[in-house]
Amino acid sequence: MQKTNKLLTLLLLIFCCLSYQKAWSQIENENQNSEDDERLELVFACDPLLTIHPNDADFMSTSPAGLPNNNIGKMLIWRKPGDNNYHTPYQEFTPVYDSNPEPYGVVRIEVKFTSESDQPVYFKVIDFDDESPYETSTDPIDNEELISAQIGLIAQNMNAQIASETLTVTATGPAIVKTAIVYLRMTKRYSGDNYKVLASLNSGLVDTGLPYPSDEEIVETSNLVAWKRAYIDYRPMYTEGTYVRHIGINDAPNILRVNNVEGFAEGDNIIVFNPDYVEIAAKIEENGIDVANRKLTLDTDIPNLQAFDGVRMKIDPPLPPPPVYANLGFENRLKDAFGFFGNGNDASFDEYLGTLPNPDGVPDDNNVASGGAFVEFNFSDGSAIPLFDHVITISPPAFEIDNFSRHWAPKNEDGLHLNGNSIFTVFYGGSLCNVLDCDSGQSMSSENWSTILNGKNNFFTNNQVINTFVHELGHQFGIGLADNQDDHTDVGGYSGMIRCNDQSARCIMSYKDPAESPHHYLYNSAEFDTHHLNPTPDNAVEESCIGDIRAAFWPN
Amino acid sequence: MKNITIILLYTIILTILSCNSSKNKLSEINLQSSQNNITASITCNPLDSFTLIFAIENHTNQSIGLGAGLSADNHDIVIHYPNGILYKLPTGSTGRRIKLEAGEAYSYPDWVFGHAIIINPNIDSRDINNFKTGIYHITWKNERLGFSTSYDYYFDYLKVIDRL
Repeated sequence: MQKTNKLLTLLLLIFCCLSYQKAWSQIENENQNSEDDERLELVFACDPLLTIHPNDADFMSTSPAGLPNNNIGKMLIWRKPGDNNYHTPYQEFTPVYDSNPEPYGVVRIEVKFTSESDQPVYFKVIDFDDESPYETSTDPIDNEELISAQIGLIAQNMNAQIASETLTVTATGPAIVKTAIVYLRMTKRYSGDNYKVLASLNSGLVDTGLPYPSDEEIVETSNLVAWKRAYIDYRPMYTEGTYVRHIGINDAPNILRVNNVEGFAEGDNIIVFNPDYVEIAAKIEENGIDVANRKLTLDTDIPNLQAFDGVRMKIDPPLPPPPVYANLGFENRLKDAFGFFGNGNDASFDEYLGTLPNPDGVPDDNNVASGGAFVEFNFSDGSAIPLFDHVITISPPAFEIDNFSRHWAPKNEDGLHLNGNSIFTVFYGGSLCNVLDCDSGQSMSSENWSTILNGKNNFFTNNQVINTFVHELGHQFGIGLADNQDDHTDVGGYSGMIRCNDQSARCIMSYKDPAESPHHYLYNSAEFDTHHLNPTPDNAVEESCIGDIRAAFWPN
Repeated sequence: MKNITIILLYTIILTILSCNSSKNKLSEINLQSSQNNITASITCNPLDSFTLIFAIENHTNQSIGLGAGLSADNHDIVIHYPNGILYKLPTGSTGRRIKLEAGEAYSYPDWVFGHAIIINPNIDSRDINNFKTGIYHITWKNERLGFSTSYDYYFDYLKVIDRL
């Protein structure tokens, strides 16, 4: 009798495995979206081979060699129109209409299983616990935006669909493999809000009056985390030349009133250029340099000249190109501050950064385990702009750097500043000094530009420049505006040290006197504070710099 | 009857406690205490009437954070041209910050104010009709800091242009 039982068990096992192989090859053939066999791990039973997407294998890694996949669970809640380069094929956005110009990020959830007949599949979305190291609450309900008519599961990716926490969809398919699809519509504001979608063929998942399904009966997606994607249009300054400081009414059209005549000589060939890419070649006349009044007289009239247009030498071969962003090394610093791993736990990335040569060539000991603000950046090299150089001992006029940056920031056809889609223009180079001090950066979040100064020809330290990128981009996400807590975290009424995310250094937005302890730009890392007046324990993440970034409205 | 009295007393106590438990955020406290206690002034340099000095005095009992330049802090600075043009200087940037302790005053860098009149990007900078000689009224307000002041600036294009 025992032998018979063993034989029957063996036969059943063989049958199961054969069914598994047949069914799985069918799923493989039908699934066009994923090629990784790792998903086999998600099959818990021979029957009915329930699988769900997106799972961890559905996200494409961009990690450096030796690090785990950094994009697992990373779902975009904003990207500029036309950018369809997602981390997973399961990423979608809601359709855009005139009345709905700001789409929601959407995840397409697919469940597949083997069955002879169509069957209902029960779906449920849960608020998964935030895995950021700084989010220490054990309460899993920590999303800023809770499930609502907008946020949750929808049957079709349509704007009019009302979202809900649970949804039942009948899986269909012409053959033995059945498929059920639902959509998760996420927050479009709060990066770091995260979700898991569970699915089961057991209705107990959604019916509280029935026993809850066993673990083996439930499949779940990756931890799906809302990420913001922002874009940096990097615009370096020429390292030589100057700009037109203003126009004189009575000036002849071949007169330029420039910020600085140093470096120019009579007879020099120059180029006058403007933000519309118009370039006019000219020559400085004999006796054409008025040092006292900072005027250049040219052999050619310059039509439509405007204040802050550029002037540079025409040299053959041309001037060396200004530094491209890739040579500055600020990408890793931005990831250090704004986030790297999809789930918000950057511990292993911080460890990796500690192994890299840092910009100042001294040991890097500040990359303690931390978390980010769930923002990623895409970079592009834009055209160079004139040198903004104020190393003179007389302060430049008020608003000079603002007017200069505004002149070179992109504008639309109406002359208004392009402001949206999270595209930030970052100007880099030059200097702004007065008798006491030199500025390192300036930002205008309403116009999406930041200007990072390097003290002209890099007299600021590398860390100062790189950390200023992080600091100024922080301003683009609401930090420092009038309704923020404490502006630069410690310039206002609070006099204590504002610890950053990893507790090892000051918050990158702090402004403390370096004499009291190292200023943020001296560190080989960059982190935002995670709690208002950090480390005061009672203050919430929502009131910190990281909270400001996570809550920044989009499009920014 | 006794039970009703107890319930009433309990309700009153709860109401009182809930009123006392409402907390102001730090920014709101700052805002309230700073009203009418931060003053601003525009004066001209006694050695140069074309140069203005914008200054802020902190008469509160706590420090405040300020942008080192006037383009920060959402200052509302408007130039009223004699020909009716209004030019609101674009503020709202975030740059270098300073801390102004209680009782301290801060003067922004000296400013040949005619520069702001000439640099106005909204007008034709080669049309003399946009730069009539005369009084240009300047208003300076800041809602958050709670002050408002003004100044009448005499502007003569030909005398200012070569100062810039």
